[in-house]
Amino acid sequence: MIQFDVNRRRVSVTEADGDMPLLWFLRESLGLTGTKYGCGIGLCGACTVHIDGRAVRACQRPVGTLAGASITTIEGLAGGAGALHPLQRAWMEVDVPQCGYCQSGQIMAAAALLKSVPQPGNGDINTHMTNLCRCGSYSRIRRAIHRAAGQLQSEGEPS
Amino acid sequence: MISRRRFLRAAGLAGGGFALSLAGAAPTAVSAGRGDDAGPGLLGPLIEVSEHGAVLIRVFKQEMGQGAQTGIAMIAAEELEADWNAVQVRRLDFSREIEGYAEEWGRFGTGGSYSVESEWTLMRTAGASAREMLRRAAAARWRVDIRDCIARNGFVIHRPSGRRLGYGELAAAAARQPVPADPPLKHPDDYSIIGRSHPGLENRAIVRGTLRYSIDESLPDMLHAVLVRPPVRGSRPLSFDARECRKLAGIESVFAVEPTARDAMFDKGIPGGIAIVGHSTWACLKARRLLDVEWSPVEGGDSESLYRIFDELREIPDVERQTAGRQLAGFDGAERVIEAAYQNPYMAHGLMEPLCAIADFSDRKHLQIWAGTQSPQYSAHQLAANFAIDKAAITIHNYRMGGGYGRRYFCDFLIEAAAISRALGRKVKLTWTREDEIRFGAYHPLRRDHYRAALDADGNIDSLALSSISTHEWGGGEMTYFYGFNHLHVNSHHYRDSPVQWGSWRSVVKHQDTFSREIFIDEIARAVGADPIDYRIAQTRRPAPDDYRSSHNDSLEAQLPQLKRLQVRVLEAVAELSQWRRPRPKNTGLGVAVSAYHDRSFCAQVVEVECGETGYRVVRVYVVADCGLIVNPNLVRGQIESSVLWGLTPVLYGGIDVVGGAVRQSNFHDMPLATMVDCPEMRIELHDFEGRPPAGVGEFAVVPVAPAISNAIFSATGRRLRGFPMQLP
Ligand code: FES
Ligand code: FES
Repeated sequence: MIQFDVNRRRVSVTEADGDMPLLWFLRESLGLTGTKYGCGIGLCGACTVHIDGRAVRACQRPVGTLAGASITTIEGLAGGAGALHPLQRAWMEVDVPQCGYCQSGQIMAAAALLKSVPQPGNGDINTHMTNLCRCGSYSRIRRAIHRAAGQLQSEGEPS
Repeated sequence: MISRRRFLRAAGLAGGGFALSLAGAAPTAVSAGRGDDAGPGLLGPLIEVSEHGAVLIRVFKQEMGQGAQTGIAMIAAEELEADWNAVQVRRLDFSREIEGYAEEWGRFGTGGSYSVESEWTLMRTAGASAREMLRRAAAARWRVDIRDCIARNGFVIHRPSGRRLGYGELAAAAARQPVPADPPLKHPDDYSIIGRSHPGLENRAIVRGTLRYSIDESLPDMLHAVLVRPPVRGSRPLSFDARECRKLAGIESVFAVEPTARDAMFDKGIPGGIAIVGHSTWACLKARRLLDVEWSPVEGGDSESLYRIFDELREIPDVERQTAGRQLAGFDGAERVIEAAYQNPYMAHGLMEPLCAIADFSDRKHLQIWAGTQSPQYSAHQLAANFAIDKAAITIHNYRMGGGYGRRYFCDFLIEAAAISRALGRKVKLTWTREDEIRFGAYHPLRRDHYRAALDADGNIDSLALSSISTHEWGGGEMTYFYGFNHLHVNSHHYRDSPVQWGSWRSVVKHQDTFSREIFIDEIARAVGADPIDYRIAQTRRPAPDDYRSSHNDSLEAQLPQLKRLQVRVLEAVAELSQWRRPRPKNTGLGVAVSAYHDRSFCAQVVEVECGETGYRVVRVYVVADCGLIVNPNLVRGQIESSVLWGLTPVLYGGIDVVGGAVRQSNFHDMPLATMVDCPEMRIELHDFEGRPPAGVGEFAVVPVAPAISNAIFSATGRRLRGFPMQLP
């Protein structure tokens, strides 16, 4: 048995399923479908989650490598039920989503960016935000990150 | 036409709510022998007011990121005088009941940027009818003159006394009021919801990751499937070895799926293949790697050679599309003739959410589909025809789509899922991989345009000739062309031997029409030493011959003066917005392009590029748009931003290559999309210069992007790029 935490809950998989990408484990075994399948080869970022606080593309991480890890998905980003992370609020206010499909991955990537660079400049955003958005919502993603960064500073970052 | 009185029907809801539905339709819209008295609630209500005052608005148009559902809900809510915070929007499912009310190919399909335009009257009327019924209910309750009762923000207020009742309290009584025959519509000056930038109604679910796209759906007793399609159209599996696949845990069955016949839209048919069915998508994906198939050899074409073939074909017109003025008279002894050719490759959609459909066709008689589709009604027709069942036996449950852009108008993925479900007698979810999505697309056609212009002594366009060859009949489209000329001749050739399926790709044929036209006019302007914006304005002001007609716009003749006026207005405005005449640094170039999507949504763009040793960068895009009345400004801006990126992607990264009948690209490593780094700064200005009704916004801003970039690169470097991708050595 391989055990790890997803959104602060302990989960386990059998060794036989060790080659299953975290993406499919989240989506099909746990029903956490906020983490999206977009390419399966680590290029689009739709499947971005946090593993021990860092943004990782879940389609590239077999569950067999995750023993003891702590994973956060979009569903667990804000903590309590109904709560919203400042990025999620900013995303709604700026009206970032178009089709919306890429946005949970974008938000997870942005949340990891703000952890390491609380006040990112455009250069930081260009370097870190490599997720694809076919709807081309990039300029709004940029605006929403700046907006949330301002709020994070004034509110203090949630745990 | 359906009379308003009869197309809306009121009904009370259990618990004291009130619903306004489409009901008792005119004879042409009644299906399967159902009469006018077929009972209430035939169609899920358009507008529902609950006893608590919550407002539910159901829309025919599907949501794929273009904002149609939020925009349409705003239109209904405006006339209803609803409290916007109490409004929710729902998708309508396709079922036999709805079939009778949706016009063939029309209302219950989403494409061509028609959504807001087509629902504008229906949803305003529905909202206004409900509002009038609520007012009447209040007046009756208070026993006062209805003229003293106003509706505002979810309440009816009795002005003289200041009494007020919430919509929820009035809903039950309102349901018993007669549906007004011709409810008064609000004056635009009084709008309080339309014209505001309300964020998307589903944003909260999206940012929390709880919105379910069809790919996220999971239904009881459902199996999962992937389909391994033949690499080249027309190829069939000669044999396949699935022994290794079947050994894997979670694999249920592996079997061949027959291709379907060609039809109007699937000119190549739907290819069939080998279905792998199991207990999870992951199990199927794993099994797929172990499947060994021998495909029948088929010789397929190459996209590269098509341009050469097209060049040779250009003197052989298939269809004379358009002539005006004395044909080509100007080319003999013309002062000056300019010509150039422009190339458009096949392009794929790259929907972020790969195609997916769940089908339950277990009994082979009734078919239920759960999918994100732009064309529930058309799809139902296709499914019925394909499987020889009655349309009335089909239900399609709609989902928000993770991108549509025209691809999801095509229903191949629904037909595949249905075929697999029927073969197994089980409910099955078919998921496409990214590779499937790129390799088995419905591609923007490959097209080559050859333009010639004869100029008079003053550098004006005397004669204009376009010879256009495309892999789809829509290609080589006629021009709706607002510049002046004396003679026009357009011919087109539909090349029927395309190796791949055609499709509608965001902005469709306009993208290609505008690409060649707006670079060509620039080439002429430069050749005569004129400023590209001045030249466009001057040519727009010149007349067209009296016999200039358009087959897709019957009223072109009558509209032409206004169309020309608006084209000039957006060009003037974009010159100002971009400070067109301000000198720029030497390595910076400005390029302009203008277009009028469906002759209604005007867009002029100026693109600023910086060119260096290793290439160029699109730094800034100035956009001036006039798409009539703006329902939701921030939403329209979002569509423009999105469209600029859509237009930019093929400029930077090109299209799809077909080699021996197979698509060479397979995932985002060889079909890159524009990213954050590529995203230019955008300055957007929205106008409604002449007070027109709302026109489409989902695609119109795509079309000027590529020609404006080409023109900008020319002004910076003197190099003319006439195809995709645009690369500087
Ligand atoms: S699905 Fe993981 S990066 Fe695209
Ligand atoms: S919002 Fe559609 S892909 Fe990003």
